[in-house]
Amino acid sequence: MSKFFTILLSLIFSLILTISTFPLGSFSPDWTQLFLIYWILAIPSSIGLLTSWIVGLVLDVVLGSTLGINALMYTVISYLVLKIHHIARYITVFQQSIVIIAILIIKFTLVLWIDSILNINNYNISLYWSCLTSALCWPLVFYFLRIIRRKYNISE
Amino acid sequence: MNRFSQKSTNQFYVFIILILLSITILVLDHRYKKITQIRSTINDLVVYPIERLSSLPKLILEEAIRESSDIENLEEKLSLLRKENLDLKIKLQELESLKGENIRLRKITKESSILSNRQTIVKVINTSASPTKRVILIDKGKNHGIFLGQNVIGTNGLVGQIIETNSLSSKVILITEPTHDIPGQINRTGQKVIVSGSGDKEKLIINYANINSDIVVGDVISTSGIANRFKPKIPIGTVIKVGDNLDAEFKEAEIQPFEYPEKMPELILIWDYMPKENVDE
Repeated sequence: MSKFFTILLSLIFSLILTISTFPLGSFSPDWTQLFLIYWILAIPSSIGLLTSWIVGLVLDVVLGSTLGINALMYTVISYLVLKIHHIARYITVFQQSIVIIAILIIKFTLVLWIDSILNINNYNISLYWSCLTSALCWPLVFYFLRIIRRKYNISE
Repeated sequence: MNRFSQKSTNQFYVFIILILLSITILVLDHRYKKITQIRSTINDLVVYPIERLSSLPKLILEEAIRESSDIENLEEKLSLLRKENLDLKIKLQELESLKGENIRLRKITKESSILSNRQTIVKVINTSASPTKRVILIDKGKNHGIFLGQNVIGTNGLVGQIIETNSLSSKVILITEPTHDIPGQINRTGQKVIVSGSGDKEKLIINYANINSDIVVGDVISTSGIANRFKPKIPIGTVIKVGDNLDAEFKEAEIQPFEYPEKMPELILIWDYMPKENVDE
């Protein structure tokens, strides 16, 4: 139960980070995605697609985007991460940063596609800056969450 | 191995189901705008507390700064405010008599009265409530009777309009947002123009005014009330620069707005004006 609450609190904290970095515009890192990727890599048996979908839906409301777009993206990215988590767990943090750049480029390309197909015009090409800042923040998120995970002894 | 592949297949089915669900929601929200109920429910239950929580450090910081500002400063401020209050009271007396006269004249010319009677002061919770658009979050919502399209003003002029209402909070789109346009008019000549937001936070632009139109620096622009989105005659800003566009087919102007809502702690909502129903965004 405490495991559930710790993860929930960390995800809420990531939403707070997201809201408070709105003034950075496109440069703000995708905090929630980073937190979610960490938990999927750490405990893939508990944090999976359904959690990602719910978090994505909440994020849609936070960002004010069309309902479902982030839910869709979070599900896709989580599926991708679940597929590669056997490899991604055992590489160094800086190699993981590079993997995250690749994952986020896929994500934002899909977001821009959906955006232009539905003619929403909520995003523009500067969204890609977020890949870079997110990758730079990944070691920070990784070590922060690892300390928390070890302190509260969260494992599968 | 068998168990592993079983799990993998299950995961795949969950994946497909969630994707289809997301696409359904996406299409429903985008095409038919039928499920705003879901959005406001999630907002009230989850997002609103988080938003309040995230604005807490800023509030505490501002409170600390206010507390620490010394008494001398406060006294100075107080005397300034007293003087301002006196000035305003004198002006108000003049205005009261003018108001009466105005109403009488309007009755004669059979024009509808556009005086504002009911107002609500709201607090700004978050000055940037969206990563891509200039949207701010205020602390009153559906429970206080706030409706979509309601005009938001400051003490000097137009600020924006309500685009999303939840139970206890609403979102206001600012007039400086580049994708937002206002039907306006030049006070001096009465000519109608379209005022758009621009990339610059402190500037508005008129892009396509007639090449022969009479716009000069210093003109005051206000809302025209055309399209029934904004109440007529709310001041927007003053013209600071006029020029022709590249092909010299249209006249362009830059406008300095009267309000910089990103720095204001409080805004005003006006009530005596109801935008036309069923107007699409």
